[in-house]
Amino acid sequence: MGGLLYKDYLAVKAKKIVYIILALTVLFAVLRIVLPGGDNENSEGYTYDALMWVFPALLVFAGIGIPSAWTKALIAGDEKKQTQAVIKSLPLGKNTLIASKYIFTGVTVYALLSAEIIWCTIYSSFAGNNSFYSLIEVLTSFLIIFSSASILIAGVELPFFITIGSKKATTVKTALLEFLFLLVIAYLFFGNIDALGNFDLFDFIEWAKTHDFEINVTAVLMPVISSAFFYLSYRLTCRLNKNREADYD
Amino acid sequence: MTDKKAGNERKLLLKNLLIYLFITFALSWSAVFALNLSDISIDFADGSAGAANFVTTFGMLCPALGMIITRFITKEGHAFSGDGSMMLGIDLKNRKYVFYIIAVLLPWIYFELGNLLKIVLQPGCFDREYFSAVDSDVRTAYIYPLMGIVSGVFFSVGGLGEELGWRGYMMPKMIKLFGKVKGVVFGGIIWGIWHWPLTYAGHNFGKSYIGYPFAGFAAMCFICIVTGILLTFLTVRTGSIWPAAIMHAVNNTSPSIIQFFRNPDKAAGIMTNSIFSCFVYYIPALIIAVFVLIVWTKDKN
Repeated sequence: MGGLLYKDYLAVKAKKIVYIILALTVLFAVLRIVLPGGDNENSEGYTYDALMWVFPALLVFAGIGIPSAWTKALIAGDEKKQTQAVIKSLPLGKNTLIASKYIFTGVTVYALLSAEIIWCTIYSSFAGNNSFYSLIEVLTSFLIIFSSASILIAGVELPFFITIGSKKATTVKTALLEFLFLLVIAYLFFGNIDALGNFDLFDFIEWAKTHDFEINVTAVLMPVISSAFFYLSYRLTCRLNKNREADYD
Repeated sequence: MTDKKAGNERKLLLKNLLIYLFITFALSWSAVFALNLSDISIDFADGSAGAANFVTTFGMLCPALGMIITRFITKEGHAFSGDGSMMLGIDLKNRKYVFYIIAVLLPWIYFELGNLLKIVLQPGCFDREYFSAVDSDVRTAYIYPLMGIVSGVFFSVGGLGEELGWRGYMMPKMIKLFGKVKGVVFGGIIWGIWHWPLTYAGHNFGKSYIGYPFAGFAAMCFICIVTGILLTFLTVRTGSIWPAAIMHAVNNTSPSIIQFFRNPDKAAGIMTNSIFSCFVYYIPALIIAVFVLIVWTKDKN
C-alpha cells in the first residue's frame, strides 16, 4: 500500500506542491512576525492585517479544489504508463489499487487542512483585534466543513474516474462544470443581482457569530456524513470494478 | 561477545536519543527565547495570547522536525512503517481499531470524571448558569465534547508533530534502554521539561499559584507522565503514532460538558490553587494510566 501511495504521490507531482507550500508557510510566518497587525484602523498594523488575510483565505479555497484537480492525474497517470496492468498482476488484494486512490485523496485532504490551520493560526497569532481577525476566525470555524465538502466531491468523482477511465470522466466533469457555469451566467442575467451586490463580508461575520451553534453542529456532522459517503463510494467502486480484468490494450 | 554487542547497541540508542533531544530542545526553546528577547509578548497570563499561540503551534511541530533531522544525522532512514520507522502506517487488523476508538473517547471520559471530581470536592462550585460566561448558547456546551473530538481528529497536525518525536522516536528507545515502567516515567519527565518555557509563560496554570514557577514545572512533568503512559501504550499496541496523535489533539481540546457548569470563581481554599486543581482534574487519568501500566507490564508480548 505504501508503494502505491508513493506512486500516486509522484504521479500528481505532489512533491513540488509540498515544497512550495512548506516554503510559503515559512515565508508567511516570517512576514507575519515582521509585520504584526494592529487594532486601530489608522495604524500600520491594521493595513498589514487587511493585506495579509487574503493568503490563508486563498489557501483554504485552493484546498477545496486541489483534491478534485488531482483525481484526473491519479487515474490518467496509471492509464498512460499502463501501471494498472502491472499492479493487477501483482499479489495484492483485489481492492488494494482502488483503496490506494481513496486513501491518497484522504491523506491529501488531511495534509491541506493541516496547512490551512497552520496558516490561519499564524495569521491570527499576530493579528490585531479587528474585523479581519474575526474573518479568519470565522474561516477557521468553516475549515472542517470545507474539507468535508472536498471529501464529498472526491467521493463522487473517484467512482467515475476509476470505472469509466479518465478521458470519459473528464468529459463528464467538464460538461457538469460548464453546466454549473451556465447556471451562474443565467443567474447573473435573470436572477436577483442586488442580493449579490448587497453582500457584505462583515455582515456575514456577524451572521456567523450569531449562528455559532448551527455552524458547530454542521462542523460535527459534516465529517461523519462525508466519511460515511466516502466509504460507500469506495464500496461502490469496488463492486463496479469487481469482475474487471486489467486493460492490456 | 554478546554482552559487548548489547552494550554497543545501548550506546548507539543513547547517542541517537541524545542527538534527538538536543535538536528538539534547541529548536523549540530557542524559538521561545528569541521571541522573549523581542518586543513580542508571549505571556499567556497577560491576555495577549496571540504570539503565545504561535509559539505553542510552532513548538508542537518541533519534535517532528527534531526527529526528521536526527534521522538524517544518524542515518536511520525515514521509512513510514515497519521496524525502526516513523510509525506512520495504519493497521486496523486484529481488532487494533479498538485502540483508535479508545484514543478518541478516553480524554472525554477522564476529563468528564475529573471535572465531576472537582464538583464533588467542592459542590459550591456547581453553577447552572456558568456556561453563559463561556458561550451564550447552552446547546454548545452539550455538543462541546463532540466538537473537541472532531476538531481533534481533523486538526491533529499539532498532536502529530509532537507524537512523531516523543512517541514515534523517543519512547521506543527509552523502553529499550530502561524498560517499560522506568521508560515511560523518564520519558514523561523529559516531555514535561520540554514544556517548561510555556509553563513559565503561564500556559496551563497561569502565574498566580503558590510556588510559581517550580510547582508548575513539577505539575507539568506529572501530567506528561500520566498522559505519556496512555499515549505510549496506544503507540506500542497499534505500532502507529496515529492513535496517540489523535488522542493528544483531543486531549488538548479538554472535551467535557461538566466544565461548563463549574464556576472556578466560586472555588475556595486549596481548590483556588491552579496546580492542585489540575492535580484533581488528572486523578481519573492517573488511575486509568496506572491500570494500563499494570496490564501492560504483565503482558509478556
